[in-house]
Amino acid sequence: MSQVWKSQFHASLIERNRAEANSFLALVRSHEQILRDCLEIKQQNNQLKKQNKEQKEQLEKLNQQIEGHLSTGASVQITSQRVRELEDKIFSLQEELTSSLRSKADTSQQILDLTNEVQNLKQQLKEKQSEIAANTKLTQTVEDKNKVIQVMREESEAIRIEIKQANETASKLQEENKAFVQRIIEQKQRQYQNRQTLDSNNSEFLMLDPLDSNLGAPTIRPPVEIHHDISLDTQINDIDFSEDNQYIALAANDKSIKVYYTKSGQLHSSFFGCADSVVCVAFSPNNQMLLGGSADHACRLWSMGNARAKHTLTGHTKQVYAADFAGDNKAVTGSYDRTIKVWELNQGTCIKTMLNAKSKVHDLEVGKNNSTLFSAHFDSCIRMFDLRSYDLVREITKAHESQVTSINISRDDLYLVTCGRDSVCKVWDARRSYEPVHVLSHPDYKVNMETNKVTFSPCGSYVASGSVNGQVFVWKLKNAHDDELDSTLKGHKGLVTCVSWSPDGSVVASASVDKRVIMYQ
Amino acid sequence: MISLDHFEKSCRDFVSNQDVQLQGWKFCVVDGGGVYLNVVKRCDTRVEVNVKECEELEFEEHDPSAVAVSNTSVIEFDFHIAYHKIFKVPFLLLRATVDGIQLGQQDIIQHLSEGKDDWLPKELNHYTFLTQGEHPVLGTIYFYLHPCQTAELITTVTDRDFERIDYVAVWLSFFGRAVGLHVPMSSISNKKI
Amino acid sequence: MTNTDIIRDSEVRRQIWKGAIPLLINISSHEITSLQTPYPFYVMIPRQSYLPTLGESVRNHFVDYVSTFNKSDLWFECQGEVLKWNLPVGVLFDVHNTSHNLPWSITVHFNAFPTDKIYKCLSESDVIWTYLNTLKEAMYLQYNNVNSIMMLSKNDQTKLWEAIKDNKLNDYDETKEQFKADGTLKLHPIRIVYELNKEVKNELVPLSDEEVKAETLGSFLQKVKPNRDVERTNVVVQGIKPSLETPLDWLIDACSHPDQFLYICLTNVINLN
Repeated sequence: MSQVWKSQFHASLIERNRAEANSFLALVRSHEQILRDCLEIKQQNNQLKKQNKEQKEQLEKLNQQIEGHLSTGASVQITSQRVRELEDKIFSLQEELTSSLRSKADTSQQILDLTNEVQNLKQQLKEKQSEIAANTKLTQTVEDKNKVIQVMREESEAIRIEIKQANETASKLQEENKAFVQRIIEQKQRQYQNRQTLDSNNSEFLMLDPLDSNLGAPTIRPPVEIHHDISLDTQINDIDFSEDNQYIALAANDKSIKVYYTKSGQLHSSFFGCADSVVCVAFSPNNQMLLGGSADHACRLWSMGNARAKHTLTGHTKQVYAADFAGDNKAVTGSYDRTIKVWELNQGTCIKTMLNAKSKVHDLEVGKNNSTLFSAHFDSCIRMFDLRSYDLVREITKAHESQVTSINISRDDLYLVTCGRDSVCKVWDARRSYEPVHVLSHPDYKVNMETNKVTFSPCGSYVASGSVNGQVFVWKLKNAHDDELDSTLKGHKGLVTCVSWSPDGSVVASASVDKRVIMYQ
Repeated sequence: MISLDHFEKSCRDFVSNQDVQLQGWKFCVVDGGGVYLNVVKRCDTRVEVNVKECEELEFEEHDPSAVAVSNTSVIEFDFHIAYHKIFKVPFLLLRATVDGIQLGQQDIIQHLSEGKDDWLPKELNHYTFLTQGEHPVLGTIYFYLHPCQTAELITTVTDRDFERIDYVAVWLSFFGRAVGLHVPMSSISNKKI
Repeated sequence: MTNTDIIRDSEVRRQIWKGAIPLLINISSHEITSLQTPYPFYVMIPRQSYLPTLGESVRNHFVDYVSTFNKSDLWFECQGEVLKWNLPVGVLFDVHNTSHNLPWSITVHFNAFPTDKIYKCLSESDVIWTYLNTLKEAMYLQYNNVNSIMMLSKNDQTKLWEAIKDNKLNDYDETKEQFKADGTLKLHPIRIVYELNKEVKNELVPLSDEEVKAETLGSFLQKVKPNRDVERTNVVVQGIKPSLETPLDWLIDACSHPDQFLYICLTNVINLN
């Protein structure tokens, strides 16, 4: 089939499109565009016209206004007159202006000055204020100080009152003291008188010494005669008199303490309990209690009515060779274990163990007011302790060439006497110097025993001590470093173990290895 | 679907009925052979012309499209029944005028519905209900009820025995209701359905 | 058909769819009420589109110059004859513009709407609706079934319409798939358009498939319009005078408008029955 018609058709179609569409498309488009632009321009034009119109109107208005104004100035003459008037006015106004300006300048100047003044014043004010502040501070300080002063015044007032009171108390105490001293003196005098009467009562026992005929002298004569001679089965190691001179206690090797009547020489009672020899004995100040130190390392306390020991003071580890009361409730013991123990006697407990004894204690004695303690030691030292603080107060080294065997304090607490194995007795000043005041020796006087006793007489003028040869040596003390042998008491056949002088000075008792106790009067 | 001859015959039969004639139906023929049925109906109504259209007008004295709103007017309906060549069914054409002025689709529907909101089914609006088109015989522009569903509808109602029924009468009894045309019973009753 | 033929068919179709006409739209001097005369309105419009699509832009162009104005009263005429806008522009052009002057000069009126002769167009929806109705008729003729058109979605309708307005062949083809119905083709929609006694008439001449296949353009016309003056009258299809040997079925496939109708225009008609 021939397709001529088709190609024909197609060709015509192309032709149609060319003629109808293609030719005109661009043209029509640009036409549209131009129209659009034209429209826009028209719009702008309209707007501009509108603006123009408005502005013209405004201009018109202004012109009208100007014309309006111009038209009022019609006649010239009037105008010129007016002008002159106005000129005059202007002139006068100008003058006013100048004058006012001038015054304004003045005013400004015034203002400036015033401002300056104000500044100055302000400055001054500031200074004043700071001064005031300082003043107030000072006032404050002054006030504070015043207060302090007030307080101090009050304090001083109070102190003054206290002082006054204290003075009063002091004076009171002084008076009391005086009274007490007076009483003591009176008591002593009474005692002395008592003794005197006693001496006069016991005149048969006394050998009147032509040298000592005046019995009123305070120093009494040492006894010379054998009053009692007691034989025992056992050796006596220590003797102590009771303060009231009634009894004499004997520390025996047979583990007992025997108490004899001093007057009669008869046995009062015996006290038991020790496990070994009793090596020292002491009466309590109230004469109710007995203290016995033993070789069994213990010390015992007896009450006078009871043969059984009230307390056993255990604690020492070696023999208790020294014991003494410090008041009625305390006791002090010294032992070979190099300690000193302080005991409370209600319970029987050790309240202090003083290790500062340092050396074997051979003897000890409680001194002034039960507050000092003197001890004699193996290391030839004498030691002094304070019983309140338990301090070692004084240590006199090399008191003797050898061991110090015994120590005794004079009744007036002024002197100490010690005995040493160097066979010398020394009397020491116990008040100040602690120097030997007397050195007592004799060719026959020999000390062998470690616990050889030495004792003062109650008056303090005589010193007695036992010797190896069985005699008791009595020295008389006169002045410092001035002494002499007074007498020797004979009776024992063997070594004298201990010596004791009764508190009233009438009896001297001694014990010996011959198992005898002799009381000299 | 019916043929043109059948349509013509059915029209003639329809018009021959007295009651139908009383209603005002006329059978028209033109040179060249076109046929159609025509009736004119008048009723009093309050017609409110679409106000929007009014606003766009500037009134001029001789402008024929200037509208005067009157309170009570007479509305004139011009109904035609013609044969649609494509769908091969009758279809209803109409025009409405008030005081000589043609009404638009909305106004016509407004009148027909008499203000009832649910008069038109929801799927239809004034477009789909009334369409503009050429009168197949006269050539002028009328509104018409779209005939595309007609054939189906009539077929389901009758049993395809088109020859034996008054097609036009039956058809009108359905489609006339929508526009207020009532078919007298006598026009259908004497034939078997 | 050979390969070259195939290409050419689609090529032909493509070219058909490129068709556009330049319009020169004037306003009648009677209607100008302003002091100034407006510029004439030049515009290109696709052959397959419809005149009312210009309504908006025409109105805007002339609005300043016309006092009375009702947009639904806009209508076009060419040399005194009212242009029936329910026909595609290309068809109108082929029928009216015998002298083939380009651009096609037509006049726009804003008054005196001829209600008898053309539909009133209130908005573009009216145009679309008219187009769809034509499409329905075509579908009914072809397949006795309009459901596929009725069921077109709003989107598809819009797409279809836009394709026609803008000469978009691809969009049209795509949417055509939506409403293409199945079944045997019953009748082809063909219209013959001609001017007689200053009036444009169009006749519907549907042919069955077999008949169409048998005819050429010439033989078809001979059958339908036997009285025409073959020498003088022109046969125009889509602006082209095809050879009378052109097979009718090919013509239908190639030159149908988007409304599925084949429009055959006859001009210079003197006597026709």
